[in-house]
Amino acid sequence: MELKKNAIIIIGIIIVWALIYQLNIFLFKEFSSNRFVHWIFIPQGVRIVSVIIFAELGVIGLFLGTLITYFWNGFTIGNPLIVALISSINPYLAVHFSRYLLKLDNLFTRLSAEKLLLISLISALFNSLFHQFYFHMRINAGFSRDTAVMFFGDFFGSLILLYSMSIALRWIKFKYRTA
Amino acid sequence: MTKHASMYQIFLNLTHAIDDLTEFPKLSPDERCLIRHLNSYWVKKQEVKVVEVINNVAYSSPATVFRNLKKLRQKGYVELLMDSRDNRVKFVQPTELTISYFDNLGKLMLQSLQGH
Repeated sequence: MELKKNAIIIIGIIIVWALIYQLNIFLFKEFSSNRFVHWIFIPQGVRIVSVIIFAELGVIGLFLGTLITYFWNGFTIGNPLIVALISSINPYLAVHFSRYLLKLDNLFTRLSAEKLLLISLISALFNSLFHQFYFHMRINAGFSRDTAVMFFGDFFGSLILLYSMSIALRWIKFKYRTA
Repeated sequence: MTKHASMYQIFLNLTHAIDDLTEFPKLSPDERCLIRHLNSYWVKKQEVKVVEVINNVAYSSPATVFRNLKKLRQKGYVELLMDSRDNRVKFVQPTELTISYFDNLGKLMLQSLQGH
């Protein structure tokens, strides 16, 4: 039973990741520096939310989700397993580092809007540094430029997702009150 | 606490933080009184001078009113605009945030009336 519940959570994360990843490519095709580096990367918000709520299950979901989108889009850069590992482990490390830095407990009891934005910033930094370090080692790409673009894209993307969720919550509350 | 109960609690805490992203900056009771007082001028399209506000608020000392006015400015609820003819005179103007704050309060009042 426990296994079944966990499987549902992982499949849910894979679906949300894959859909938002493809939507991001569709909407912001013009805003990509190259096929892997985007000026706006909304799926970064999915990484943060998944890892905060589902912890290790979030990592597994993101790992499998990244593998799917890697092959779906016909990427050939780097080793897919390592790319997926970086994509999934990084937010986990960043969230735990932020938790330590912001002195948050296991349940994120005192998580505020400001702290959430700080977590997004730290996650974007971790993600861009690790990804670009790996790509730099593999293909000797422009490290500093791509890291900066990826950092900006990840942070901006997570802000878009989090603020959209906030507006959606407000709208749902408004509808519920007027119903 | 079970694993799923923890997940649910984290979800609630995260939802609360996400909800706060688009929340209005919180006002203290004194600041709320002051902005309501100011709004009584703005709804009548009257210009309100800083010195008038400081001297006309009966429930607080001028120093407290001025301190609260500065806090409202820091939180983005008011702007202080200098008079073009006399640099010593400043007017208190509402910002977009204040306009939507009172607009929201008005909508909430209508909702509560519809509920009864």
